[in-house]
Amino acid sequence: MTTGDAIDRKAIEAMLENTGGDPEFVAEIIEDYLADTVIRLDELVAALNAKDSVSAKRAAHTIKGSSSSFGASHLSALAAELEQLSLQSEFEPAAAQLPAFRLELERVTIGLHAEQSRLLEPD
Amino acid sequence: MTAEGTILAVEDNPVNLKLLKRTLEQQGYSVCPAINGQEAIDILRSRHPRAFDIVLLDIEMPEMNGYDVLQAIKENPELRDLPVVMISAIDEIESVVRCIQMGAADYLPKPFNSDLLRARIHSSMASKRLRDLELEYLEQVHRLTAAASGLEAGSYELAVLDPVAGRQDELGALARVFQAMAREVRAREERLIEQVHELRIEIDEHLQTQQVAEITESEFYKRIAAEAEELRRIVGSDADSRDG
Repeated sequence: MTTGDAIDRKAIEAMLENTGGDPEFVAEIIEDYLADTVIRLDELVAALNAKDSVSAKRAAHTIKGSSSSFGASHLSALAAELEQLSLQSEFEPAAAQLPAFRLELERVTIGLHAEQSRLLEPD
Repeated sequence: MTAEGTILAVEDNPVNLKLLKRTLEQQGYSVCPAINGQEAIDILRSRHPRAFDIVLLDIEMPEMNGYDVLQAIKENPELRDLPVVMISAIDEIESVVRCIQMGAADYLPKPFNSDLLRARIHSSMASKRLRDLELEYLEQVHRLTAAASGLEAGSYELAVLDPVAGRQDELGALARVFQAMAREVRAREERLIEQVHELRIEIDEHLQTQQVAEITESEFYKRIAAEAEELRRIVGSDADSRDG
């Protein structure tokens, strides 16, 4: 598995600059994002299983929005596809995308953990 | 309130809300976060109508969404001038158009670009301040016309004009001239009242003198006075004969 471009490092650098240059704050909010995304993914899976279009769309929408803030553009794009499929009540095609989504989330998690280390233990 | 202004930020994604709050605070704003539409409405209802300079409002929220909050703000006469900047994903342009038609001032695409965030908020804040100045001006013009009507009806409640008279513009000059003229009118009226009072005293004294003259010059008084004089003379001569 490569961690190559799962994260746009510039997004994290911009976040650091825009929030006052406090690495601990950015490291903390990365943790918040990863924890929240896991919860939203569980909600998405549950909503797809229950064929609940509104809840599935909402969960995918949230992941789409926050992922783009953390430079996880590919994960955000996958979430946007899941949002559209949920909106159209295409539950099975949406569920079929979940493995790819989980894989990308793993890449993003690794990439963001690397960013956290870089923030808290600079060279 | 800080020097830059106070913002109500409404966003149902807690991570994005935390990020937005921190970013805005770094730009010098005071931020009140609301995690959903209902909380935003509750906060707006519990605070002074001018507590916030701007509302940043996410469109996609469960239950009470951005449209509902925007509509509630625009339907409230005390809040309808509060600028609302919508927050939307870049693929929600149709929703943004709808919000602008409903009265939103502007929109911000997600993810937030710090420079764009600063520019849009600054612009909406400037419009809001201009509108606040306009409302204050109209309110002070109203004070001045109310004071003029009051003066016509005989009231000299001039202290209400002090905030208007403190302005350094033409309205302030007008209020100062009005206060000076009203004070002069009042002083003249008071002098007039005093003069009338003095005149009344003079008239009363004159009447008294006239009445005394009328009595002392009457035949009856003259007769009584002559009799009194006669009595004094008799009493005087008796005393002289006893002494002699």
